[in-house]
Amino acid sequence: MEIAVCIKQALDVSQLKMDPKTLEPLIHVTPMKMSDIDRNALEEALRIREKHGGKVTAISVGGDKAKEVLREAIAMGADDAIHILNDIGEVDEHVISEALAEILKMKGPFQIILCGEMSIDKYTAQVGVRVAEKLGIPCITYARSISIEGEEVIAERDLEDRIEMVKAKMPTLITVTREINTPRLPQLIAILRAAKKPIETLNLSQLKVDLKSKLKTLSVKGIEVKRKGVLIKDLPVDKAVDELLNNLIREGVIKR
Amino acid sequence: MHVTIFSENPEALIEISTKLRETLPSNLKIYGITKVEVRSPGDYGIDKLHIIKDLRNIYEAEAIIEKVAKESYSKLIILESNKNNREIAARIAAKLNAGYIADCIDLKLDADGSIIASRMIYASKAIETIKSISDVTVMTMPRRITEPKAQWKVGCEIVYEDPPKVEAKTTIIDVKRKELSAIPLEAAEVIVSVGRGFKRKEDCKMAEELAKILGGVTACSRPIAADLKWFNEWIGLSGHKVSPKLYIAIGISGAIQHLAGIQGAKIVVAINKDAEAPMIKSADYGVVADLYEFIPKLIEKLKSTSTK
Ligand SMILES: Cc1cc2nc3c(=O)[nH]c(=O)nc-3n(C[C@H](O)[C@H](O)[C@H](O)COP(=O)(O)OP(=O)(O)OC[C@H]3O[C@@H](n4cnc5c(N)ncnc54)[C@H](O)[C@@H]3O)c2cc1C
Repeated sequence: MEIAVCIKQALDVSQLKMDPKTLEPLIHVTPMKMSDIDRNALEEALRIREKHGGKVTAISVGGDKAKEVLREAIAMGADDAIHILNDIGEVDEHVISEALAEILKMKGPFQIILCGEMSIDKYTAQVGVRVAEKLGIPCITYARSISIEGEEVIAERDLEDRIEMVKAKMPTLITVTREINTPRLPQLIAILRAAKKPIETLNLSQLKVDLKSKLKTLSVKGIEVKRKGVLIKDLPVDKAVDELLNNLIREGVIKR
Repeated sequence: MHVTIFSENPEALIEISTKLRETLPSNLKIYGITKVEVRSPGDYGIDKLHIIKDLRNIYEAEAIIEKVAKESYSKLIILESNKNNREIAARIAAKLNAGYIADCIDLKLDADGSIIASRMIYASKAIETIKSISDVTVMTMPRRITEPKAQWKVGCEIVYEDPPKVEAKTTIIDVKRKELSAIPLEAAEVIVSVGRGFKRKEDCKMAEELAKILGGVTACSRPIAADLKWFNEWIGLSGHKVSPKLYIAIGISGAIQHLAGIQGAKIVVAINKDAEAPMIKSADYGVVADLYEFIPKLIEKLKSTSTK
């Protein structure tokens, strides 16, 4: 079974700070990491390989530093990694998916392609679906479980009000949710070995695909939610309850 | 400008049409697609409404949206944001080589006629403003971005259609319904929310009792629903975004993905035994206490005062 996983190096949003004066997000000092849900996708790929045999290839489009997440993918157990070096600057999801589809065609065929349902920073949930469409293969989104039976994959889609069990003929692209598994931690020895492994790199600008973005970011502005931050602590429980209730009554959010 | 809008839900449809009438110039023509009757669609600014009663799956929805958008020369295609529609939107965008702006909360036209839209990014810590340089632009739009207003009174032509015949690439073999909150969480005035600080499912009864006394509903953080399955719906970035008068987070650490769901709350109370928990710092009132001691006392007090 040939399995591919698309991995994004995303902004670690939990560490993102704003400039207190301008509310400009301080993106350049914020660390990057493997987008959490893509890590679940990678874990699922490894589990499928463990069960059905085959090879796992991790692919990432990104700047030079995106190599770090590919090294991590190898340390977790991916067999191969391909880095599409973004050498043209800011691009949108259209360009990213064009590039991924092109590489998947070049390096394929893959029976299963896995992606996270969305990235943790931009949260647009479109790259996986777009890639499947470009490849002309079925797409199953929001999978919280995957099983393979013969030529078919069966997945449980986690929707707002229902769980849908769906099947599709491989090759299929599947986007997974956080609940599908708990990703393994790479072992130290594997991390050391991965550091030495060469990673195949192609330049985005060299790919024969449409490299013109359809969307352009004009600005990004932080929003501040101001809360009062009143602390009720070091009081006996009785007193703490009174203190809270008095405040809530004063705020008019509970009735006396 | 011609716009095609789609939602299975007529409420969402008239919210989107209202938003468009409020924000875009008057030479607008809105083509709606839905599954059920809409009461006076013209009043909400919809010029033509396609009703497809037995729309069965996402592939049929996709096909009808594409057809209507193409025949109406729509430059903008908007779907209500939900999981299935986000998939449909992304696929239509891929087919058209178009830009797709997910979860757009506001839009306008630039001086040169192109669409400018904004959306939340970085776990709702920031707003991104995007300009579309796409021939056709695809969007999804969440619920409640505006109040529906019946004030445009355009004449609406209504057509009933059969779903288009399309080949589905995936087949649904089973469906399990989830049990959802009786009051939609978005409409609740008081929400008592449960986190992993609760040790057992039975303990959540405390939260339910508290919610009942306060005239509210219960909800939870994502792991309580998604992993432990004690509840079905959670609050946050990937769950419900709520704006109650009072939000009480009990045993919730306050990860930014959780906080992203409660930005609209008027008063936020956190009850957590860890004074360093981000939830305490992001609350209006942060109570540092063990929930197993504090909540029973709180319930007791509320009961005794309400019976007085
Ligand atoms: C892409 C992505 C999307 C996500 N979307 C969401 C989302 O929409 N909503 C969401 O909620 N999460 C979401 N998460 C998960 C989120 O990051 C956190 O993991 C989650 O919110 C933690 O849940 P919790 O606060 O219940 O649990 P924990 O983080 O484990 O916190 C438990 C808290 O309970 C306190 N506690 C323990 N015992 C007691 C006691 N006896 N009395 C009082 N306090 C006690 C602890 O001090 C701790 O602060 C998302 C994560 C990712 C990566």
